[in-house]
Amino acid sequence: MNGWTGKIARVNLSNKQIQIEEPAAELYYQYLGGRGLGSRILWDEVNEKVLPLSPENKLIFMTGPLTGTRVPTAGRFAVTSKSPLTGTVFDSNSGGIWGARLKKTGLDGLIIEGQAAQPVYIVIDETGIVVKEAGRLWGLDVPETTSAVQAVEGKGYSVACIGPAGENLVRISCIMNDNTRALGRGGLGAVMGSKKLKAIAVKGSKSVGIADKEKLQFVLYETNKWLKASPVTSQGLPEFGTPVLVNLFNESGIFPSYNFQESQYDDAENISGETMAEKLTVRKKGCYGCPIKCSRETRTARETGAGPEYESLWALGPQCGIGDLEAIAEANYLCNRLGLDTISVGVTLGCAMELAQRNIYDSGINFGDAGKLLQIINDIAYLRGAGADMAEGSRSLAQKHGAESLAMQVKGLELPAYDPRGVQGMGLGFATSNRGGCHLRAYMVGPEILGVPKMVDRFSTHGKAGLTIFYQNVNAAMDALIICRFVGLAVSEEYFARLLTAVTGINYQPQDLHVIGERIWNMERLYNLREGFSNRDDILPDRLLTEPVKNGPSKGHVVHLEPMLEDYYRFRGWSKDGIPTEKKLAELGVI
Amino acid sequence: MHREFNQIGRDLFLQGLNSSHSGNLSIRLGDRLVITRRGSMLHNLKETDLIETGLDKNDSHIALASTEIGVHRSIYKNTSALAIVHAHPVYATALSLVEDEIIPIDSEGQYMLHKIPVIGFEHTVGSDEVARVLPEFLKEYKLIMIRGHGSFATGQLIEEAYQWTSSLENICKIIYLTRTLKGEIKETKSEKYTKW
Amino acid sequence: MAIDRVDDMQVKVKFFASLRKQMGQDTILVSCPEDFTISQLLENQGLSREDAPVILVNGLRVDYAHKLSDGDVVSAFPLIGGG
Repeated sequence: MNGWTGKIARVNLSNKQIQIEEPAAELYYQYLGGRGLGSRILWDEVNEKVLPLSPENKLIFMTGPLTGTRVPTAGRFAVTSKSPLTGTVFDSNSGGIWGARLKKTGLDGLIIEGQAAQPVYIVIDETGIVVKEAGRLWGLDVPETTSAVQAVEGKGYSVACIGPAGENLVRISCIMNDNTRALGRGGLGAVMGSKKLKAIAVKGSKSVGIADKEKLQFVLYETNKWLKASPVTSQGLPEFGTPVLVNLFNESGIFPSYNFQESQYDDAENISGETMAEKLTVRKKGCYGCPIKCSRETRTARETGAGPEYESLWALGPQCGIGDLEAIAEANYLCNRLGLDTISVGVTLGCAMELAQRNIYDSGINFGDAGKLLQIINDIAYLRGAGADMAEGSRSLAQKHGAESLAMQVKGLELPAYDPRGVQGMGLGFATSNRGGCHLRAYMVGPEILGVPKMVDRFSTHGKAGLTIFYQNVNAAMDALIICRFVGLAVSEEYFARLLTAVTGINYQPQDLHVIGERIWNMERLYNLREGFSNRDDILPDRLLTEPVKNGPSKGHVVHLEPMLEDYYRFRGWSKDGIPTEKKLAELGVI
Repeated sequence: MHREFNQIGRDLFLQGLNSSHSGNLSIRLGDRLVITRRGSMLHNLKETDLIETGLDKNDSHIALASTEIGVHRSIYKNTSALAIVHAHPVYATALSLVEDEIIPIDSEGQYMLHKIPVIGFEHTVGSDEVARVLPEFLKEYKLIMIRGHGSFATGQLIEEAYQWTSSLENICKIIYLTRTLKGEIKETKSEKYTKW
Repeated sequence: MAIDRVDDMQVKVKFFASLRKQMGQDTILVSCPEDFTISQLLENQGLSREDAPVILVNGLRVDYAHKLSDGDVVSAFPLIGGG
């Protein structure tokens, strides 16, 4: 096989068995890898009776056929599991170098099963796979864990691990790799913690098989040429990072603040990409094989660290009524150290703040309390005081106090930095995402605000269903290859299909990627239906459906979800109740 | 929606990509599509010139739809296109009569389209043959030329498909002009796009 | 020969991202005649469409033919993206 190694390791932490399996070639061809293969395996092996934090749940680490090759950004990997936060099939992917290193040991991925009796960590290299005891590591934060593992195994090992938050089964905890890269969302850190798996260290240098080197050379040349020529990937992102979006979205009136009570923030300038470049940024950084380098290495008066990214800046900032850039940066650094999802933390805090504002529940933190951020984040990671309730996520917190409508989440996943009342398509995307309120499944802000590939009217519902479906499908394929979304800002599926063909030697057309994406999407939908989800869960928080935006360019608008949803189900070839028809599933080869 | 069709229809005509009554545009809305009326003038589309009908099923409106609806339907059923622009660009059509594929020699054209296949058909565009064969090419390329006839371009929005069409004609004009100029073309990198 | 122009209106123009360095400032006030278009404004400021492809007026996306009104806030961005 070219591209794929053809081997997946199954590690059972209960009975300590390690097996190398060779999945059927068809599985690779149909689902590619990453999120695709992950969701298929989860469907086959983790049914509706399995509780997310039980030994029967599985953690599937998976690379794609392009991982470890010279394709730009091809160092990413995905982790799929049943989420303890949403209960859905949940994948998250991350950059850095871990994915490339795993692939170069000769493995496409890992399936972690069972539960260790005592904390363990796994070491994988070209000599094999070893499970080692991790007593000394348990309790350490992410950088400490990484150093400690590298001190024993060697600096050449890339480390993916959880911090105290994951160990404590915090439902909004995450898995981190290479110190500052995050598999942010969905509480995957808690799944890893429930298995008492502290870290996985990988080191490999085997080359990935390439079927057609000449063709790859040609398409790579074109791809890199356009990454360099596009102003977004060659100037905007490298120069300012994702925070460059703060001012644009704020000016457009889709920048939520105070738990989505407003859609602009007065002090946006203070926390903008421009200000960050001036005040915090030390240098830009990139992941494995990435020419874009959108990441930032930053420093405050007291510390250094990575980021914050646009979403984190917003979540720990305006979402909480906070405009203190240094406080936000330090909160971000802390989340990275403890292994917490910055988006879910910020939105849960914002929820708690509104509960206090409305005198429903006083957790001791209010909008604007920049000085209390570090304390409360620690409390969340260590389940102390009010932090213990917050550790369950915003929906649980709000439900506990009889105010569920104040939790800005869909299917349990906290909403990211976009007010969908000002971007109808995002609203549809949030409601229909298979993993809950997520902006990455279909980044509708692209056409609706950025005008990429073309401008569409953000306040109109016309055509949004078709576009949302298109992006959901294409992005699912990209998450299976796996390459970074930002490459898609410069080149299209024409390139990805040709790269895949050159690497694997199998003829993939751009249309094939759409079909694979559609297949993955329907697979995930089927999974969630089996879990008991239905079209009733394809909703948005009441506020976004019934409270018109009070001020700014989006004033007066709400999300008109019903008409878009109706179209969405029909256009997907699903029933009126949002269930994939037998015909559609057969057409995609899902069943 | 009407405004979009109207604007693009007008621009296609003004750019010389269609003659008075030629070409057609459509968008897909799930299991239905909206296509220009048969015999309509693209540069002056009225709301009544936009015919909505089923993707699979015919209804009464089918009588009014463009004669080439069969091809549009087939493209939607076999690709993920959400919009189609069919035009008769003059230079592209001329070039298609002497080439088996059109390779852009200008850098903008290379970025936009890389390579445009030319397909010859026995029968007219309304035929089953075209409806069967054309979509296969559109699974790979976003724009193709039918020899001696015209272009079919796909996109997520009409504006996208229009952009490819407009780019095509630019590419072909440049190729044509360099063939009439004395002297060798100094740009040879374009040959590699044959392999795209 | 000087052209007589009555600059009845005033609009605020904000620059973002790399445009700030390019223009040397974040925000300026521009006096202009009635019905001044975005196209004319860009020309007036020495900016090309490639420099500033994303223009908002009072937070809403407009095209280059858009006519300004007194008191409008124009936000000009280079091409940016992200997530």
